[in-house]
Amino acid sequence: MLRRNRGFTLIELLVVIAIIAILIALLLPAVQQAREAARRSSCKNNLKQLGLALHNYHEAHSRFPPGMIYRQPKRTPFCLFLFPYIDQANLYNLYDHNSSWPTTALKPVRTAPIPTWQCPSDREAVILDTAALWGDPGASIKGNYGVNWGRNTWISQGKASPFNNFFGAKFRDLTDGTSNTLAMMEMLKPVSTAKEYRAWIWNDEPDAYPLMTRVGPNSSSPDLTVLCINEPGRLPCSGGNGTSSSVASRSMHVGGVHVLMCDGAVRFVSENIDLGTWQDLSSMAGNEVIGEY
Amino acid sequence: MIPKRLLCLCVFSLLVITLPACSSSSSGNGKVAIAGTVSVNGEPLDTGLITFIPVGKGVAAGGKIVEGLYQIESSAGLFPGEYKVEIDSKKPTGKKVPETIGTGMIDEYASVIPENYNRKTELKVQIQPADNKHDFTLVTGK
Repeated sequence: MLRRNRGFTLIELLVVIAIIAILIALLLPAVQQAREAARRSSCKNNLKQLGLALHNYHEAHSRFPPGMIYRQPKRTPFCLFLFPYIDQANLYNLYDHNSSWPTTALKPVRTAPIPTWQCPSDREAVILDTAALWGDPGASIKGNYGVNWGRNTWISQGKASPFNNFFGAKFRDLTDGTSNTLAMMEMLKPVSTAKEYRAWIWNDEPDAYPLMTRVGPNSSSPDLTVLCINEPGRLPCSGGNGTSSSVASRSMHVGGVHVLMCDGAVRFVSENIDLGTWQDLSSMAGNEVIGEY
Repeated sequence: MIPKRLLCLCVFSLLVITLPACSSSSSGNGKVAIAGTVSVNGEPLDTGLITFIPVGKGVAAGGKIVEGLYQIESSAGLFPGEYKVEIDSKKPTGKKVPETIGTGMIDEYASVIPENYNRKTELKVQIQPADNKHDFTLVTGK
């Protein structure tokens, strides 16, 4: 009874440390998951904002904005039409509406960050003004949301989608129902050093931001693009396609992509969605019966 | 000395419980790998793209064709069933077209595969649960 044991022995301390280590090992991956979940919901919210912008545009102009004005005297991308409705009216007014987008004078407009068009789950990517890319006339931001361009290729949609060259649908054109028709989908940005068009929201090229449902979301199948810097597993592609380009919807989210329906709803679509259903969702007047997805 | 022994026991049981939870199995989910060759008029197709589109319900998959060979891993592969096959390949025509910003010029490409092998394909294969080796011999009009 003289030597009363105060304090801890080495073994007891080691045991406590081991238990703490196990708990941390269990918790850390969960923290990372929570961060990705936050990014995903921010990404989804952006798409919702674009959906509201589309509806406000429709309210003002009685139709959706045109998918693009392609290689005509005034080449204009889709994103410009939505700027006044996503709190970018100043940028819209700064744009010279008598000019095509690829000019040096419009570089400040094209390089302004548009947070609504960026999904935080994806990498940062911009087109720099380096000579190896397109110089000052090309410098732009890239974005993560593209428009539904049917089930086939740029030049031939297969069945009509709400957006086409010089065309944006009216609600009355959507006879499949606004809830059953895709408006916009997610896309991924190539690295900033890659000389290619994908995710280039300022560019009216067939493989820039039009997205097709020829293959499913996050497909392993390579995109048909004009310029191609192949990124297997992420952005696979095969170059040399002009107006016959076809780009699939892709995202960094595990298991699928976010999509915006024409009624303004945002949904998460699994990459294992039946291809037929996915293609039926892209047509606006295809008379298909769409099951669960 | 009982509390110490109890502690040790607790730690041991904790380890035993958590270890199996960490090693989840991620083996085959039913998808199968597929590989084979593609030739056009007897010559191997040097570059291109092959896409398998489900005829019924299912998911599409595809891969690149390099020197007449294509290979799709089982992780990116197909479920057994019937598929349409699209084969695309582009070659420079020798002409130049304006680049996107209108200053430079880039090669113009054209398809070397007729539409009845891609956009309006007539090729079909049956993917089996194992040993999928499918060779395609295309014949163009030229």
